[in-house]
Amino acid sequence: MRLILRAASLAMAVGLAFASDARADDSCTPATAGASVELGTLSGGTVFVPAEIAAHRENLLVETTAPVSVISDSVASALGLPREHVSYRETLKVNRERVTEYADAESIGFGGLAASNVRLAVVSDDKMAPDVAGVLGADVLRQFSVEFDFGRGRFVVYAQGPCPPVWTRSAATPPTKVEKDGRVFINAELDGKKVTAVLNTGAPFSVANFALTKNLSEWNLQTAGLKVLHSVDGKPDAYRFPCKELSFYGVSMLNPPIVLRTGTFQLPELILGQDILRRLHLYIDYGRGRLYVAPASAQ
Amino acid sequence: MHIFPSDPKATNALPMLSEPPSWWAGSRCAEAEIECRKARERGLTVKRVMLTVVLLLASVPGANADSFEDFNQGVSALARGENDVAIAALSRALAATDLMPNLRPTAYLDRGLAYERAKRFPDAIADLNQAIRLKPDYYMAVLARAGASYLGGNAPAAATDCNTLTTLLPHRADLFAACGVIEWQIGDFKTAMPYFEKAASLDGSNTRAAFAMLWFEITRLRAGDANRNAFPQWDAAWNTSGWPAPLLDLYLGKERPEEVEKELGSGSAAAAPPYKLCETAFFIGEWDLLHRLNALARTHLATAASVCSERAIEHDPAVLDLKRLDEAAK
Repeated sequence: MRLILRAASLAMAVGLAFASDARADDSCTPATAGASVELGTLSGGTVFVPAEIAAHRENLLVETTAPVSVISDSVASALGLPREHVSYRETLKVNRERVTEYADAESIGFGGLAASNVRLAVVSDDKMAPDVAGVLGADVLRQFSVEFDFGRGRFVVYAQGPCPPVWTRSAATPPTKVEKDGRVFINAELDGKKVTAVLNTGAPFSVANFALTKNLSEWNLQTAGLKVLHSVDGKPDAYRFPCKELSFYGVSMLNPPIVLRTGTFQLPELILGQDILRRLHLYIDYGRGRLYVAPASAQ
Repeated sequence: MHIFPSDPKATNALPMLSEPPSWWAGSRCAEAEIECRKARERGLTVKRVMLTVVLLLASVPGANADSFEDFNQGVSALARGENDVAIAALSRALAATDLMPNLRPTAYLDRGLAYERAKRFPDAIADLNQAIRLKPDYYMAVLARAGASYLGGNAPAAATDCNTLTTLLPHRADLFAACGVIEWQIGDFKTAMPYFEKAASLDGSNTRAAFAMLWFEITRLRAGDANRNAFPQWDAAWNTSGWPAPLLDLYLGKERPEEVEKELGSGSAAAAPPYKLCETAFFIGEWDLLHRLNALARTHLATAASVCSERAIEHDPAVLDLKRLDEAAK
């Protein structure tokens, strides 16, 4: 609590200077009324939201890096969603399983707001955690501006257009790029060195790619005390990253709990998973390609 | 052994990241474009520096006693496989009065999972009971409790939870297969059979269905059931020469064990991957048992017990049958 208060007071202390920037930058009216729904938490810290599909409420895992939203086979059938085969030219895999069908939903709604004509990838039920019916991916998220208020357990959806809500005036805005498929990349700094990070609310923990980040620090894999987190056949392939500070151009964290992966995986330099994101209050303005970051304020 | 498909060791923990996330298409962010964006925002840099807010994370001892932070520490530690950290942090979070009510079931679930990994099964089950009490439709907690009961040696309790889950989630082939294996280990082969048959029917005609049918057949033979047509009929419809066709042929009487081993090249670690050696040793060992070739069965099952990873579905049944052989020999 002491820390959060300290963080909040610091943010308030410098917020005025930043707020004037925001006003100068954006002359439009800040968004006020978003559709707010409860943000549920799954084992490991990933999150889900209740969504209305075909007049039913279904829980969907929120995954900001998923290019398409997903629904389980049985739920798609139960809701009577019309289906069509995935074109042979498309290759889409979910948890190593190739998707062969789409299900079409007229809308996916959150409170008073809805995305229309959503095409959902159909996967077998056992590809989903037992408590969710599917995945809410970037194809739907990017139709809105979205707020993750992890501290209060709320997910707020705003129509695109208005400026971000007032609280974002005291938030950091790291350089951000929203890819065409909706993935959100930001510049961050690890121990003062620049890295490109992707926001992944579907990842329970954060991962740095050793191949891309090994030049960032003085240490190496032989550094004494480097904690091994995972091994394959006795050969370590995951370590606790011994970095001291992760910074988002205004919000920083000391001793972030990042996992360092070795190997040749085609990963970005840094995946920001829920272990870090849950400590933050986020607003993604997909329309303007901006991310606002503040410390999570509990309750 | 972890026969339950959603065991967090197999999903949330590190092995999940042994490959790129399912959505990762490989296109990295164009650094240059971000730089352009950064240049546009250069005017804000000084104020951003002023704005710096430092969050001390959990890894700094005693840095934050807030229940929300303890919860975050605990669930993320569990995801990373740091069980002791998870138990300590979630215990603090649950002891606090200000943890948000909607986080309490997850806190109990994740502490229960951490206890389970630490082999503290009674503690795990107590926490999972609490999670289910707070959220009666918490399927993941029921699944976890089934796993903890099973690993803790209470197979009947695991079977009860497993059966409940198959009623609530009737489209999950993996659950039916898991229930079948539990009943098989209890020795209730008649009850196990329909689970494997259902798993195969839900899986259709893929490799997992083939293994479900292999389990169905060894279970049927153990049960002395007369329904001998189901297995060959399924095999005829599957009609593939891929793995595990040699094992199917063994139980169809088309091949002898030595032919299967020769075909696989087993005995040489370089010839086949460990999982195939495991599956071959187990199903040949079971074939030996069914043909009362106990000495050979002991050899093959001992191989299975040593080659199969503890997570392999064949591991515990191989160990159990070795024990049964030992008891029968006394």
